[in-house]
Amino acid sequence: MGKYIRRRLLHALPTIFIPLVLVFFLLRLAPGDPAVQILGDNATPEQIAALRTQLGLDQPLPIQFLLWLKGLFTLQLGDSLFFHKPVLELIPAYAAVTLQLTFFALVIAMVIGLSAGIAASLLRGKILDRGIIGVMVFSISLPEFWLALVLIFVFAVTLRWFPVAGYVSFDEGVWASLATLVLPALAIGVRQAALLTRMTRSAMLDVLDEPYVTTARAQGLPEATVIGRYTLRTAAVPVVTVIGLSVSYLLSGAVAIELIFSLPGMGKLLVDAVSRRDYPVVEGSVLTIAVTLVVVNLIVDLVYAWLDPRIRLK
Amino acid sequence: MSKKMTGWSIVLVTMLTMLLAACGDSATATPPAATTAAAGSTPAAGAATTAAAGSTTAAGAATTASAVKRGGDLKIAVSALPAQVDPVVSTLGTQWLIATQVCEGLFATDDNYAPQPMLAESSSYDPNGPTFTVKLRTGVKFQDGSTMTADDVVASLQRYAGSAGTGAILKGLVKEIKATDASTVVMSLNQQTGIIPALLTLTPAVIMSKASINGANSSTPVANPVCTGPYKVTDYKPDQQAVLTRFENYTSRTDPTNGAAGAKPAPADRIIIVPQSESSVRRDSLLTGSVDIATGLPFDFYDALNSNSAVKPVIIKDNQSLTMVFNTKQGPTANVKLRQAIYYALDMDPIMQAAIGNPNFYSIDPSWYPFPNAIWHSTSGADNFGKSNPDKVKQLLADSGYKGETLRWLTSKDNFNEWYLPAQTVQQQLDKYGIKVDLQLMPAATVAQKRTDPANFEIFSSFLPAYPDPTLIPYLQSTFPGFWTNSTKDDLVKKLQTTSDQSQRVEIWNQLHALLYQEFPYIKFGTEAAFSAVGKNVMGYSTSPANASVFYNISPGK
Amino acid sequence: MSLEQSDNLVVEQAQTLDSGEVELPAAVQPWTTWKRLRRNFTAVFSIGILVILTVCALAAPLLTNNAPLTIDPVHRLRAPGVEGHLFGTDYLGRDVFAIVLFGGRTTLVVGLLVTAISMVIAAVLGLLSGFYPKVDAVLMRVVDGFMSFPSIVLATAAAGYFGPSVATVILALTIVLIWPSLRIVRGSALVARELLMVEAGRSVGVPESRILWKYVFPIVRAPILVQTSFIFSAAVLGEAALSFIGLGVDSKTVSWGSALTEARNYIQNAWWIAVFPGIALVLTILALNLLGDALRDILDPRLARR
Repeated sequence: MGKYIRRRLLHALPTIFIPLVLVFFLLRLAPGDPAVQILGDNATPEQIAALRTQLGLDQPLPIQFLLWLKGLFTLQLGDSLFFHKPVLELIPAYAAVTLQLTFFALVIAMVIGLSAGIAASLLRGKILDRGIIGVMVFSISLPEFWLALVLIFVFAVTLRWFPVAGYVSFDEGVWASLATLVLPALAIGVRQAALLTRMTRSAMLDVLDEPYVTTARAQGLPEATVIGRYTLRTAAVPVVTVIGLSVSYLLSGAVAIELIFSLPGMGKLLVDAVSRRDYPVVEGSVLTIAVTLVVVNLIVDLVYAWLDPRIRLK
Repeated sequence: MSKKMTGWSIVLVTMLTMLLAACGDSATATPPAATTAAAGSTPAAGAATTAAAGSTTAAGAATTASAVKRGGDLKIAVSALPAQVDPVVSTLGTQWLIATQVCEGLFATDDNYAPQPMLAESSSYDPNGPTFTVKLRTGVKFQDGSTMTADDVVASLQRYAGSAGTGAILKGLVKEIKATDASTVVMSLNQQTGIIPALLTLTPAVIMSKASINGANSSTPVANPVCTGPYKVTDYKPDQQAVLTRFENYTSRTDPTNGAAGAKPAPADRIIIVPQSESSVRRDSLLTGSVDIATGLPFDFYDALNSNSAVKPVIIKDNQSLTMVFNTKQGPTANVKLRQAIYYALDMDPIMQAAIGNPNFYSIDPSWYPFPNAIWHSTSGADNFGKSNPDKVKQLLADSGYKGETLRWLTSKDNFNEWYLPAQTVQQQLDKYGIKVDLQLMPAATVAQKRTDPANFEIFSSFLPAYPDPTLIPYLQSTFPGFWTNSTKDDLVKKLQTTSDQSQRVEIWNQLHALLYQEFPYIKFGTEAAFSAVGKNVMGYSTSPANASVFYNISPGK
Repeated sequence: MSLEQSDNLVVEQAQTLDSGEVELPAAVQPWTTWKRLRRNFTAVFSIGILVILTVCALAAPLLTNNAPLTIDPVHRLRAPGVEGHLFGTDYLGRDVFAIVLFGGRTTLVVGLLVTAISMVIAAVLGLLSGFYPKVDAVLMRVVDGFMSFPSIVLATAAAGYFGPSVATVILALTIVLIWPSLRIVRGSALVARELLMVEAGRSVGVPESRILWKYVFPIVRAPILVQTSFIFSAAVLGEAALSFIGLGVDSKTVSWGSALTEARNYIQNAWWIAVFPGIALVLTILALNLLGDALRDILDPRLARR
């Protein structure tokens, strides 16, 4: 197991490296000068040049790259050009918000998705099954930002059950904090739930048609045991895949949702940093996201192996 | 296992539902109730007296007389918070928001744009020297408990002088700043000038304690500036919220409150500022009661907010001029006849209507200085402003030798009403005469960057607020994008800077204004108002454009 | 980022086929497919919607005489049906009906180009990758690298570099959507490689290209066809989301996503600005998804048992 993990992490290095290098060059080659953004429109060219030197932006690109590589290996990711705080200090607060949102959305998606999917598969062909499928297909086609606008209009503005936007951190009140996350989590979670429903249903149906299930039933085992012991575990494999994909998607920041609800998460940080040309923050964020995705994929594969002994860790 | 799973699902769903119900309740709960407000607020709190500098009715102070209730949290929704509290490191006015509340300078602007002494007790200008001497108020406390001395002032002003933007103006005017004793600061000047008090009202010129500056230079922000203002920063997360708590030992002036000048009543216990980039979100937060003030709203919201009894719309008239700035250095727009042709081609009312919508929110006014009550308001040189003159256009176009070149116009949707909409309308109007405009859209910050190189543009969008002194208008500097160089202009600006008699200066300014309406380094379309809305109990806000971002006089009224 | 959101849908398929444990149907003939499609109600329904939308988009200038970008501030925020504006006007006085129709054009163009380009590249690379293990080893690393790249960064950087425009959107979306399709094609190619006829053909000396074209491609064709519909839907969604945030098309181009950006400020007093483009968007995506599902049901009996 340990060897497997080590090998996976090694293989993951190019996976992390490629986006980082791409981002580095893409950003610095793009027009837009962070020095101008920091100083503002009334700065003279000399003042801008002075700041560029101070920030190390006037050096040739390959040198900047090498310096950055060095920083990467010593985990010195630099200071944000905009906030003047170390990147490593800045990111955790934003990551925490995204993690909370991810968790919440995932809970919603799993609760709705798994139960609906299992129910639909057991009720195959009946009206409820068709109903669930219908709702599911429709939900998959709803753009999240559109759903978010509808949710805000109904629940925040008209019914006033939840705040319109903004984020309250945990230490200022658990309930208040959760309240700010309900609508965003719903906006994302509904679609993820639909995807999960589809996969769960199809995976369950696959397994339910297997000969050994028919055999088990023929042998008189109670339905609960048939489903519980024999089918769920096998059906779980593709379901875990979709969950893993959902997590990956959520962790890179559901940007539109964060913007609509004014949530200070990774998505917002990334978009703001890119448009401000805050290079260290962008690079740090991409690194964080890439590493997290690698870890998530690793966990997903380990869960596979645990669930289905036929799948051997290669 | 299925039963278990179903069971767990039910438990989870139940928990979720309970959670939602609980959250629903707490979400509508109002913030902590105000302490009982005795009518005994500070004596100056309600006064709306006009200040010196011979103005007509104060456009501003909405503090009607008597008790502005003390206590409670004042929650304000703005479009974005500054990246840091320190205003010295940026020339963008939006970055000065927090410093405006927690810091003070030697002088402050009242609601009529006149500079008034704030941390200064008195000042004197001596043309022999020339020198400018400031006697400081004694016993003024910093927020860490220490007392302000001349050393702090010197350190702050030297840092300001080294900064980008208006700091450079101070640097050009002042040879040396010295503290001659604990409460006197002497500035030896390079030339005669009357504009120092006006310059020192600007936010980057605020006074911080020397200890908190700690040797930082002008482009490194001071991490925790210690200032003298009525509120201090107790929590600051730029993408989440800023919490300012009242500084109980604030050393207030005793003269009546007038915008940023005079006594500062600081009625709210705490000011909480939250960034919400969407204007509809700010409006909805106000309507649902989660904030008390929503700033920077589009004018289309006016009718709905006006008919809602829970809120009051606040119109800040004559806030700023909407403009298009020309590249006078190179390219087709370097030819003054083309610029004149463009001016005569424009009908200003449709442009402003497209941008603003409601005629209550704009005025067709040619004055470079948007504020009608200010002594600098002028119309000289601008006859028949606002109506196009097709004959003149054709004439001037022919004279200019314009061959149909495309004029590149840098603009942005980031400033949707002020930049983008006028640009669209102007483009359509110019098209009628065969003047081709290419609107280039990009983030506002990219416009700021691109316009520093004259090879990149012919026109860019901008807006012009009122400054404490017309010499501070950036377009007058030939290094500012547009790069307007003109010897008559330079002469007039110099005279403006060095003359100290106000009526003479107004004379000179009128001459400069007339020159502007001949040379057209830029064209103004009209003056727009700003629009915010407040909860019905909120009091003490200013409706003068000079002090619309001043929050320390406002009470949430709870 | 909605780019990944649409990824989800297509990658989910990729994972299923990727494991190589799927049996592929025999190559389905195009005529059979068409006959089966005609009988499937969902397919007919969705194709119908798509045809209507396409016709409207193409005939846009004929159906409306208001060029969608004419700013008419005097007539802003008019309700639907007033003064000849079927869907009302927006905050600039632009005709919402025209916005919906011309926005459909943008959607079509972006969708078609993104789908065509990304599918062609994915098909070629996928075939090569599935067939030649050496290529596969290298390519899969690259694919993993690209798939863990937050597409929002790509979109923002592209918009910053090239300026927002239709071309930029197409570029960004194409790059993001190649990889899931690639994996699907690769999956089928992996299986096809093991087919007896391939081995037989090789042993007899049939040139590699002919093997790929005559034996492998007809098998790979089915998942590609299914994937096309989903990619199209993902492209439509992606363009709308990008334009919504402001990283999509430029100001001169009408798009449903950009129409929704300012629309949300007016939901309460001018709901039509948000509702009509929104409905068009949802309808299009729904139709494409339904079509993809129907195609999958028809072409892959194992996956479509029910």
